[in-house]
Amino acid sequence: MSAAGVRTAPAAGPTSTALRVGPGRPAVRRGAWVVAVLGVLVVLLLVILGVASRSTGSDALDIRAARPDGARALAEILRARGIAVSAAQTLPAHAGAGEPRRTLVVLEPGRLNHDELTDLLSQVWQGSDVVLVAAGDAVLDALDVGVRLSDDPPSAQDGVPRCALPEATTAGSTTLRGGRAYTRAETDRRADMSLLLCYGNPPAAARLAVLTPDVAAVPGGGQSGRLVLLGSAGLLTNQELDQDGNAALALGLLARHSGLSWITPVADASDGVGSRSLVDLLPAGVRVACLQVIVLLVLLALWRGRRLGPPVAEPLPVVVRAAETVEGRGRLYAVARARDRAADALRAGARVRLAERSGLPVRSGPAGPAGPAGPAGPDPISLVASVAERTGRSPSEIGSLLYGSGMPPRSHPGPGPVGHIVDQVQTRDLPPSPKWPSGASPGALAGPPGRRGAKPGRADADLLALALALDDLDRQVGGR
Amino acid sequence: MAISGRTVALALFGVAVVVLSPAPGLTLALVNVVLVGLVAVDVALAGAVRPLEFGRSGPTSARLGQPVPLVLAVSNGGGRVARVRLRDAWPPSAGARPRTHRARVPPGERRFLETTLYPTRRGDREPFRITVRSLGPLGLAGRQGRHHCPWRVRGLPPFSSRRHLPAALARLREVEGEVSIRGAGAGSEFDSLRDYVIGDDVRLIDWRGTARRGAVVVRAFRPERDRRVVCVLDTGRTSAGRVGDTPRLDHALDAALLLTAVALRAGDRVSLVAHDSVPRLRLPGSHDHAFLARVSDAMAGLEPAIVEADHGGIVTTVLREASRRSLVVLFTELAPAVIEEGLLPALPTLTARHNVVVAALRDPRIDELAAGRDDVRAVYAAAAAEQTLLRRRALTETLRRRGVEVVDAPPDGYAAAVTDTYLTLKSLGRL
Repeated sequence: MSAAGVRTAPAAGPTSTALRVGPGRPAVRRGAWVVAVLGVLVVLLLVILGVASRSTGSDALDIRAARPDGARALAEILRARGIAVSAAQTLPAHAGAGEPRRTLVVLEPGRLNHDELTDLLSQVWQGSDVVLVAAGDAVLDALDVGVRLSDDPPSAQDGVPRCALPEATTAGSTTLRGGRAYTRAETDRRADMSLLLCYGNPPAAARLAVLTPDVAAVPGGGQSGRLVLLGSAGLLTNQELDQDGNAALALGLLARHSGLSWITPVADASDGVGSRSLVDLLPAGVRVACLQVIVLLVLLALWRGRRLGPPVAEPLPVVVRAAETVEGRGRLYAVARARDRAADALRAGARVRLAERSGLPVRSGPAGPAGPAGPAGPDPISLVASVAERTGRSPSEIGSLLYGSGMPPRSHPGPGPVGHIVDQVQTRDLPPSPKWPSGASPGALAGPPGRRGAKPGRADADLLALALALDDLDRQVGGR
Repeated sequence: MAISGRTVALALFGVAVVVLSPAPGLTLALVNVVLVGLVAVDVALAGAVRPLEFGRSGPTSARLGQPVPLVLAVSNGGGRVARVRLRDAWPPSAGARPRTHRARVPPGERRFLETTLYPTRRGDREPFRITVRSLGPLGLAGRQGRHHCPWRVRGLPPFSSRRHLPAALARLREVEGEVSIRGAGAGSEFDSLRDYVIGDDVRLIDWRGTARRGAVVVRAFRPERDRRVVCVLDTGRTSAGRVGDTPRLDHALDAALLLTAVALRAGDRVSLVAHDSVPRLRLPGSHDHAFLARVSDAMAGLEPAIVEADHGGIVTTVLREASRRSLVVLFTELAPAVIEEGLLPALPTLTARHNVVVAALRDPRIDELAAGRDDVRAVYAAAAAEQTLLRRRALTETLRRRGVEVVDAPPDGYAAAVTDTYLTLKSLGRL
């Protein structure tokens, strides 16, 4: 395996000399995971898009649609017979007894509310035909016409009428085999309509129920109206219309009046008798499963909540940076705008550095509250002279830069207390630098504490300029 | 008792069963009865936690930064197989890894689990407790219990200044005259007589020996041996401040270790004192080379105390500790108020009897602040830093005037600077 072995015997043994190129095994595995997760997400997205964009069958039984599940063929036949066929989404306004009788075909009657259904029933009593396609329990309850859904599906699937309805006997066998089945409700309250049950095995379960009002004559004469409950609309579609006796039955049921309204109520009517909430639509298992989900959540909490021993406590050391006091003092200076004090400190530091560079002795005074502003430091005259000589700048300029207000007036600067005080008084009274604005004496500047983070004023800019000038001097001296 | 994720997964499966079931209510009851039954059976069949026995083995101390591999032995004294998940809990600063272990221990057998500690701080670390979860054969649920198995791992100072040791020892040999650079080494202690070589100082000629041998001989000297060095660590509040990311005390320990190593090699006796308001540690001087390990061990437990150091007390302790003239190396901070009020008044008694070196750590952050010119706030901070530096400088001068050697070095050269000072004093014969 070793590289040396491979080099001495390149052709010997099955040892592969191939080097692995590219990412390592963990990286590949991680990449595979990422790809897998992304793939699952993409598939999920496609499925959701597919479901969302799937045809919801909105043009099923549309009289304009020529597709297999449309009803254009029927509409064309009816029009050929001179019947005015019109599509609508709402019930046409009901003007009263005087208007011409017509046929109303209502798909999805469950979307109509109670009043509209009552209105339809009254139209039946006035001579119109109303065909309700696949009416459910809710619709039948609202109509209260003595018909209910059959509990058992009809056993006979041959599509034979088995009744005396003339249209049914004319049509004979049809494909009316699926869909809902009706039967007579055991109530005698509304026995004012005669009921005829056809197809399937009446009277236990019939695919077609025809109710005719028991009236001697309708206003205006002619045939009486009737209410037709059609278990399934399959026989009306383009696909099935030409099979068996479907067309004959459809024409017999729908072509009795000169006008036909093909009504598909809109789905958003929330007060429809057949409309159900989302919870009603869920299977019963889901509601019970919610209880199991609660059990699951409790178990999950127990699983995650039981820890493998408590956290371990430990005394922690103090964490404090050694330079924190210095930083804090700097911030205090900034807040108090202690520019004169800061300038003193910067100058004193620069003096000591320059003296060291120039090889001058630096006397150290008593370190105390007097601080660097005291008489400690190199001899001013020789320092200024030395620096001026090294930089080629004028001694007065360097003097004002290093000592704030030109040279101190003392010819022999002694470290005595009097000299100290005099020095301090003089640096306080005079502007520390010619650059300071004439109106702003350092005493006034150091007075009221400024707002934190305030925009640096001119005096602050001057302090910055002083610091940079001192650095400049330092560089010039050091550069030699 | 504890349940596992499998129970939860089973419950989730139960949700699916209930949703798809034709009789949801009955299924719900059935699913949960089965779930409870399985969990109960699993708990009943799980191996007991109490008869498990634990033992440890491994190192008891390590320098910081080195891993400590510890072995935890689990033996099963019970009658059933124990499928355990266990956590050997240590304090966070012990850095124990991995956090949990899995093992399958049949009855009467033993398994070894390895926990590696990566201590992040000095000092003693003890395990907290061992929490054991023994799952049943189905892995659905189990019992949980705890055991205690004591151990102690001592985190020793890292001694990262070890890398300076070869250079320091080379210099020591040079000082001792074992390396012939200028013939004899420096020092004041008479070593031997040897032949005169051109270039030798004529004042070193030993006339009596020359007369006896007939050839010119010179006296050779060597540095004094068997001198005393006292390392004094100030563990007061200033030692807690961090320079870089390490407390001052740790820098001081590092420097003291290097000094001890070199001084032992030079044949001197080193003793160690740690003091803040009260004496924390007193290690009397010794010659033997095992002393370095003892010092290291004793240093492990030192922590900065948040009290003001009592320099008078420090001086008293040192005077009591060192009867003969010694080199006293005081590892402390040049904080003006502390030194002026505490050390300066007590200094004369100390300098009268001993050589004193004050070893202070210079914070590079202060220099960084002093160079800040970014905006006006930085300039104010620079002024504050400048002031601190000046005071420190003044304090250094004051101490030097009183005959105290002052070392003021940044962290990376601190230990080397202290040792260099020692070697310089030794070569000058001032010990």
